[in-house]
Amino acid sequence: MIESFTLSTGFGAWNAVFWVIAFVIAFIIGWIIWSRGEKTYDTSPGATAPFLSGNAEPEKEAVHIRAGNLYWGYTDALAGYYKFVKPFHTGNLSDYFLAYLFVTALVLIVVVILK
Amino acid sequence: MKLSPSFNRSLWVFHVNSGSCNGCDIEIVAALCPRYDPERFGIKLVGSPRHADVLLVTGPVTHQMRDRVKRVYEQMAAPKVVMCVGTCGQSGGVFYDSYNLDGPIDQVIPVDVYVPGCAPRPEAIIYGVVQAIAKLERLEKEVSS
Amino acid sequence: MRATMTPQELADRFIRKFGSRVSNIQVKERREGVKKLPQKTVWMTVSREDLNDAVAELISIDYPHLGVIAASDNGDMIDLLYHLQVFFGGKHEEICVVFTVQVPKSDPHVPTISGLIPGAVYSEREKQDMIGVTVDGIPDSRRIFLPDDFPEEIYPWRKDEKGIPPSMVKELWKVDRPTDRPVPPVAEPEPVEKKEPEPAKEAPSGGAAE
Repeated sequence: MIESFTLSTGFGAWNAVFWVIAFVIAFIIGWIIWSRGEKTYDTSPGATAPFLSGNAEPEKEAVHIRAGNLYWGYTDALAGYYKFVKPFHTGNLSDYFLAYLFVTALVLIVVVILK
Repeated sequence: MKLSPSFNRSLWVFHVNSGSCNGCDIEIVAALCPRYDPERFGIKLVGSPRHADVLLVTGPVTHQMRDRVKRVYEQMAAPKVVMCVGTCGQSGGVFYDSYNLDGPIDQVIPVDVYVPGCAPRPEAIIYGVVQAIAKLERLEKEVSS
Repeated sequence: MRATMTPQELADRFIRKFGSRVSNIQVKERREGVKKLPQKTVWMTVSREDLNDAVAELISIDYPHLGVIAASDNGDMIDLLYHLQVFFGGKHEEICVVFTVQVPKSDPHVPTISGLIPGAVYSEREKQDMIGVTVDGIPDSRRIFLPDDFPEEIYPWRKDEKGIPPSMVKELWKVDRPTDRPVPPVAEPEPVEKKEPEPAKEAPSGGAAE
């Protein structure tokens, strides 16, 4: 069975069954360590709260990191460009269509005249 | 003074200032400095109440600190001992009729050892820690039995 | 040596610039310590409209260190004392200048000086909380020392009806012994014996001659 699951690349072999066995062994070791822990600890919400120098835990919205915050470096670096471009985006559909016409005209001029 | 085997090497202390003038805090730090050297007994100051056995509370409990002292007390693991250092936490001290205080410390958390003084000498604080150790040994026996 | 003028020259400069708008100028020099070293102060009373001009004039002399803005309740008026120090840094060179601004309680407003001295915001916030003076134009008017749920119209430093009412005074010293533990033993004081006063000894020269 192990042979049927083996995938052999140019540099060696890879077998999912070994991965499963490794995870099972790691899980057993972790479970043994966990079961030897202290079981008589206090489980009330006051005792299991995170230690923030005595302050209350803030609500999740206050400390939430949005997806838009992850690429802040990109946004920060292009801030100058965004400042220039943003006023142009008026939200008015006719303006966008005008922009489309201008760009099409420019492309046609470039293609036709400059060939 | 005989230390029990459980606390042979470590009695970790967490200090909370609930609005004091810092006089008692200075005396606590003086008690932990090399002149009296309690670190040879394993007594040291830790940064989190979860690591601590003894909670040293100084100061009268101001209104803003009341909830925070309660939370810190709840976040300590049993067995724990609370020591109130200084007279501010026992009867208000010089702030005895202030409008912004929320009672002596034993109205907020249960206190085991009181060390009076304004500020108490480091020797007095060490004597209080000795009493706290004796009480901790009794508590440890009760928790394990 | 940053000091470019004596306290009397500083007071004269203010009199020349402000004339009658500044009143009650006193130049005091006290002696402090065992060596009786000098400590120079200039006190003056300015109106609240001229406060910013006076601070600007002081900045033109030397950028001051604002110690604190003290406040006291004076019956119908509230006194605000702006303690500023110029020429600080050298030993006993500094001149402490105190601007006293009197503000009526019926209209407790005073302009902010945080445009000129940004660090004054803390002290001005403290005055708003503690004695009820509204600082016009302050950039940040949150409570600074009192808790957020402190009642609104109660100002701890006032001596009139807006001060701390007796219902807010907590008597912490009225505590009894804790009841959940045995009472510790109290040692009996040792009885002090009264001793007979000893007869007066000979002059000490008798002992020294020995």
